Amino acid sequence: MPAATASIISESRGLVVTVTGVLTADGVAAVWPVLDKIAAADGDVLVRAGEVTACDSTGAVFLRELERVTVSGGRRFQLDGLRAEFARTLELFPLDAIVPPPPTPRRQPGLIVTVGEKTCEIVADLRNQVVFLGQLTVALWQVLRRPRQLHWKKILQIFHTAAVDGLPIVGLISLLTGLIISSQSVGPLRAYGADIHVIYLVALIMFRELGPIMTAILVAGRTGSAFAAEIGTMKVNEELDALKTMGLDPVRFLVVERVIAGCWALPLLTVYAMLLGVGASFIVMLSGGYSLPALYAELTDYCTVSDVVEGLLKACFFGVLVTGVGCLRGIQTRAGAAAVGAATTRAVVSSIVLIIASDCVFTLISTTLRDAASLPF
Amino acid sequence: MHNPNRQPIISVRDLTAQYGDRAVLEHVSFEVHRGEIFVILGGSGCGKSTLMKCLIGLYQPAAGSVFIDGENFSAADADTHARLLRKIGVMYQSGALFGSMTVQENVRLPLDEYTALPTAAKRAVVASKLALVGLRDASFKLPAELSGGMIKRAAIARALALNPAIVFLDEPSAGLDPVTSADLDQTIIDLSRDLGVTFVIVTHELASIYTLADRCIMLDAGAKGIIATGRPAELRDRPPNDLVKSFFHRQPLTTQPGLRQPS
Repeated sequence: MPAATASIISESRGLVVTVTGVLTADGVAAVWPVLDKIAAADGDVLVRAGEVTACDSTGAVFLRELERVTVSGGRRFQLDGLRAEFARTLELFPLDAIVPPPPTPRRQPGLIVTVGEKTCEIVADLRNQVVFLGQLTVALWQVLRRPRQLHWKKILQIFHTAAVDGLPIVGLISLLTGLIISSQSVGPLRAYGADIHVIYLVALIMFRELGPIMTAILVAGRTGSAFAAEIGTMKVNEELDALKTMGLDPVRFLVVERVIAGCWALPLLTVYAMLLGVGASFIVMLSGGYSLPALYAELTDYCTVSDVVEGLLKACFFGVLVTGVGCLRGIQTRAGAAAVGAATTRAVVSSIVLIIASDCVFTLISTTLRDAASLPF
Repeated sequence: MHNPNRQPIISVRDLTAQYGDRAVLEHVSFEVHRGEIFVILGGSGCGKSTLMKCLIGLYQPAAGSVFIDGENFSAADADTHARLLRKIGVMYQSGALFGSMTVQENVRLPLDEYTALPTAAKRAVVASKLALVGLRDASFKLPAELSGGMIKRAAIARALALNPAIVFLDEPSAGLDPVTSADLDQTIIDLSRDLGVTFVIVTHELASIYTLADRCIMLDAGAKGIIATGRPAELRDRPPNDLVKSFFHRQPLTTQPGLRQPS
């Protein structure tokens, strides 16, 4: 049974609405449909509310809405029998208080305006990235001239979080990648009698490409996003403004240490990834009956130190890229909790796009140099 | 202005709260009467916020009980806990409005979650609550577009959405200028008088305490509990100890001897 009831009787002088029971949120939900019937009917409205046993502000809003619906049709409204204490609550809500204000019209831009605005945003973002790169370079140059300015303890802490804490996930992914590539490629190569070259294939992929790229993407997801969230929250809490008013450059104070830590962490994680990826390939080949000396000879005959150096150079660059982008997106955070989430997302997406784009450039350069030096592959 | 009914709506009995081994409050007992404006005051670190968290069910006391409307809130099962939560509304110090929602969406959220009201009814109820706190024209603004006073008013409107019997206010005057603070105090008094809502307020603003409080308790970190209870005027005129005396007899700077008076 509903907490409240409302019945309508049509009489010669108009409608008589009898409301009974508890006019709180639950009761009002039950009797609210009566408003549509009153709006659709003709004649003045008399509301008998003598049997209303409770009426809070939601009940008062309902009674006012009854009145509004009636008088807006040019009819007369009369409320009869409402207890004095409920009448006092009703007085708190004048007729105009229950009418929601019209929503503020939101400008709906056309296609051309939207494309223009997005283009301006992208250009402004590129400009900000260039400015940030300049600020970072200046700040790095300053601390290189005065290394004592750096907080080495803080750098070690960041390095620990980025590198040491990242060892399990980087190790797992690299091991599985080595296992999968080796298992998948050994069959096709066997058809050409070249299955021993699986080791060379995996080593080349891990040293030059997958080692640095995979590690950088993992670090972007783990560490870059964490930097963006941390600095973004600091921005929301006006901590960056506090730094500026103390005469401290946020880039120098917050970014430089993170970038230096990332610049060391990523190459070391990459070496770890390379070792585990190639190690996994050794496991697959050994389990296929190949001897360890043959596999080792294959590796050392074809792979050179330059392959590892190329991968490490990339990793070093990706380290600066991932940590720098994470910090930049944190600094660019706007107001509110949602903005911190948006900054984190932008940090990861931007990092991955830039990693892949810059890897293409790296590959192009190394291929050109190999061609010029007439080196194989 | 104040006409407190003597029936207790909150009853705290022998409450002890601690973080790890460190007790913050020990054997605290008091009652809040229906319809009154009750103020909890005290210095920083005295346990005001911990006490409020115990009262609103965010923190489980180590010992003792909190009774809301005669039911044991601190030992309630899930259903009772949920039912009692509908009897209370809370305004946090920062307002804690959801930044991605407009003011009217913030106020409407509890109605969406807890009532079966039709959409038109919810709109009317939200409009009425915002009119009560004088924020009708800010309905479609985001919290980031509001001033400090408007954020507090919007937070009070949200706390009132489900017509709670008790509203807790954490430092309502914090961060507000004196004029806005006085306006907010008046709104609280109007709401208490007109709606019969019981207000429990954590504050240490003397002006607000004198304006608002029917009764107050004062906590102290050293005593780990209540060191004074009564009406603000009583505590000011007959302070039971030096701590209360020093709190209520702080003088405005311009009346202190030795300071240069404005010409």
